[in-house]
Amino acid sequence: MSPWRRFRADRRARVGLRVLVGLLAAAVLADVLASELPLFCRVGGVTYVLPCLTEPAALRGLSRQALKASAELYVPTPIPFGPDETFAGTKARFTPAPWSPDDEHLLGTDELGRDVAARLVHGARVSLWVGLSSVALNLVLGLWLGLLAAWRGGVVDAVVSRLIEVLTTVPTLFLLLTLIGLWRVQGLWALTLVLGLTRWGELARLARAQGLQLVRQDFVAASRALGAGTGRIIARHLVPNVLGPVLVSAAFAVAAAILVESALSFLGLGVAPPTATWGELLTQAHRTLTHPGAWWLALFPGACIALTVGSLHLVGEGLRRSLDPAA
Amino acid sequence: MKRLLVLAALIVLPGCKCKPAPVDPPARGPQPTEAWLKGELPPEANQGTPVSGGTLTVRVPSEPAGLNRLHDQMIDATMVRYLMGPVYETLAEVDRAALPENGQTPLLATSWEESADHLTLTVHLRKGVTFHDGGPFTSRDVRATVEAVRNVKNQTASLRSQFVDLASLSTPDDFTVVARWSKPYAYALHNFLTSLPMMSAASLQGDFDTLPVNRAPIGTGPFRFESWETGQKLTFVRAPQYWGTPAYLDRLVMRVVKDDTVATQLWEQGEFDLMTRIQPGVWRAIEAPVGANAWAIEGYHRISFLENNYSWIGWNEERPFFKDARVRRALAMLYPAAEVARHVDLGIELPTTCPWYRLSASCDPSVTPLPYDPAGAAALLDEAGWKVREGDGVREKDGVRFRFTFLANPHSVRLAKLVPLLVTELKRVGIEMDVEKVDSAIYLSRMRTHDFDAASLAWSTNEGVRDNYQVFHSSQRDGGSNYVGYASPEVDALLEKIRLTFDPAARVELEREVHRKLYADQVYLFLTNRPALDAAKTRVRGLSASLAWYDLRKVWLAPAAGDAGH
Repeated sequence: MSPWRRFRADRRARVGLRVLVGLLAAAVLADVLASELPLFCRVGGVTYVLPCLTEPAALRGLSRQALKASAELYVPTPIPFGPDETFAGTKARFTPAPWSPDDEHLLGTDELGRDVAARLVHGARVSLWVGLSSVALNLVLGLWLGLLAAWRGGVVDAVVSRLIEVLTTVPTLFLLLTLIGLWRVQGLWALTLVLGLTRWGELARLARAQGLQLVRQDFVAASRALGAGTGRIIARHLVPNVLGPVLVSAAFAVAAAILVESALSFLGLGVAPPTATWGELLTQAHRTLTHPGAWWLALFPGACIALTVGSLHLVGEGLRRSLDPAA
Repeated sequence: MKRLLVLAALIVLPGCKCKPAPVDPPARGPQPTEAWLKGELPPEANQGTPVSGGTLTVRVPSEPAGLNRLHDQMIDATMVRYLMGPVYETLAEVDRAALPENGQTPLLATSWEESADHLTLTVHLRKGVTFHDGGPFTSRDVRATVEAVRNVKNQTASLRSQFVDLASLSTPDDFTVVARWSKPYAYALHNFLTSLPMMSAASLQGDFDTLPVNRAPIGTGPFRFESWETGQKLTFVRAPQYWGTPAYLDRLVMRVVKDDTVATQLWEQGEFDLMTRIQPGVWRAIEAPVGANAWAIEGYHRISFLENNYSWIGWNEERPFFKDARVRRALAMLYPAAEVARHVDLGIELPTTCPWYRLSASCDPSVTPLPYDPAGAAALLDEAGWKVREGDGVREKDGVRFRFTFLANPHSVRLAKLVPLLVTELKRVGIEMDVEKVDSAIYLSRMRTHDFDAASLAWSTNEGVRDNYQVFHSSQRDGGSNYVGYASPEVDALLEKIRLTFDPAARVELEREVHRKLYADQVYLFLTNRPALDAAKTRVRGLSASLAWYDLRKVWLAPAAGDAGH
């Protein structure tokens, strides 16, 4: 049975993958799922298709109520609030925000009356972007450096191995806090880059270990005898053969990166406000948990993080099982 | 999938007491009194005959780096302020009952005379005072304390600025001190008498940053230092050798709990006799007359009092956008004050326009706050030359886009709520505001070096008067606290004149003029005065809130049997 079929036969891995694909879809389609502008509307005879994506200048500056009142056709997004819209609901409320879930805000609101569901959907972008793209960078660096070390040996191996040791001993969160302080590392790109450049150690270690077994095999020697260079051997022969185990590890790395981003946002030093992130919602939950008891601010973003990390782990486990030649 | 959801819930649940807020609050439950709601101590809280004994546990929200009241790195922590009076004593203290007026009552000095030209101050010290380590208090200790402050090698810059004009200090005998000033200064006498905690000469010897008294203070007050468990608590006990009326309490425990949520939980469990810095959201939540709030409504007196503080947003005037006062006025008109008051401040903070104490005469009542008026603001911005550009709708002038970065302190709950509102308001008129968050230490250093576009801070002091020279005089741009780089020759002249005006009534007139000018120039976007929000167990007696905080020397605990509650 091929690894892919084994993976598909694995029920838990399948569930994990579906959840993950769902989250990814939510992140990609966030603007269509939750926006202050509708999916379709017709105002004064002009039809706007997906104004929530195109944000036409003609609708700019119009309040939702005004737009709704003047529109002949109005189809709102499934969650009819944008992530940054404050106190957007029309219901009369007598206590200060945060407001508990009701028929207007299905998952409640945060302290500024912003819709939690809308913020969760848009927050998925940040989490998944940071997780996936930083690990993609980790993979590129880790694979190349790990395999280079395995192939070349000697000084190159020694240098890379020491570098891996140094990197894996620095706690990422503290490194990030330091960089934020010293060099104003902030924002989505900077965060991704720092995670991408510093967390490849584990992957490189794995690639190197796998690579060391491969370089002694006949097909590598044959290809070398045929005159192939380092780059070609690594790319054509080593990478495909170590990719499996490294991918397993990468799945867990994505989960870890998402947790780092959440922790950083929770500490108030993540992606700058007003961008919605899961960690930022948890910060608010921390403040409001006992009084007035805003459990929804803790439960829903917490569940999102747990769901994402959990499903990544299921996928990772599934990958490991399906790639295990002994299975 | 189902299993996974349960797992997710389990991960989240232990951290929270997920009791849903009651939908229809049952009206039956303890009804808070009017005084409780206002945060006023009822009369019975200060009645009865004081008895000695007991331990008072106070929540402190921050832990100082040390307890040396002279050291720059150790002075702004709340706790050090609590200890002025109980542990450390000054020559005289600000008359707590008469605040915000500027009277002094004798403490370690019994009397003093000022010369007619305001240049010489003679202080007569109290005899028979001993430090907690047994040494006598004499003029040598006054000299050592002043010298420690004046020594430029010591990190004492913030106190030193008050003593730059001190020409000489002589000690004709053990109990007389004569200070001579090189030029007159209206607050010189007050500062000399009330701002210096007297430390023993012996304890000030050695490396100033690592003095033993930084960890274990030695003062002359009614409480003596006992222990400091870092990150946990500080304990003080009644000092047997105290020269004055002994304190009632046997022991003072300052519990360090930085996290407000944790502090609230500990408070609810009854861990604090005096809870401090209650979060506005909690303050409001415990007002509902429901059984779940009985512990607070029946067990505690709420105390709210106006401190001398004000918060502001500063626009760095070196930036092209903020040079023009019209732009700063427009920004003030974009500040959604009503929304902030309702949703962020929960009706607790008081909007202000004034850099002086709200209850003092120095604020001119005729200054009216600029109204929230986005259309008016847009017109002002147009007038100042910041025109909306076709296309992206962002304003620009001479090729400069109106896009700036707001430097935010991640620990401020209020800013976290306020900033998103501001971003939205500014965006509507074509101003792009980005947000950068940095940690407190970096935040302050960047403000000092003017390395910011916009930022927010609060000034606070525990006195009723405030010399705003350091904050608004153009000379204080470098090294002072004029972080926004404000420079107005008129205000400079007024601030200089205030320092030379010894008649309080005349000073008030000048201060009102400064208030009017600063507001017209919108040197800051003045935000609010934040009242202190505290609560004390009903058995805590003798508390009286004032600008100089509670006087722990006068606090006593009613015996449990006689505790009738309220």
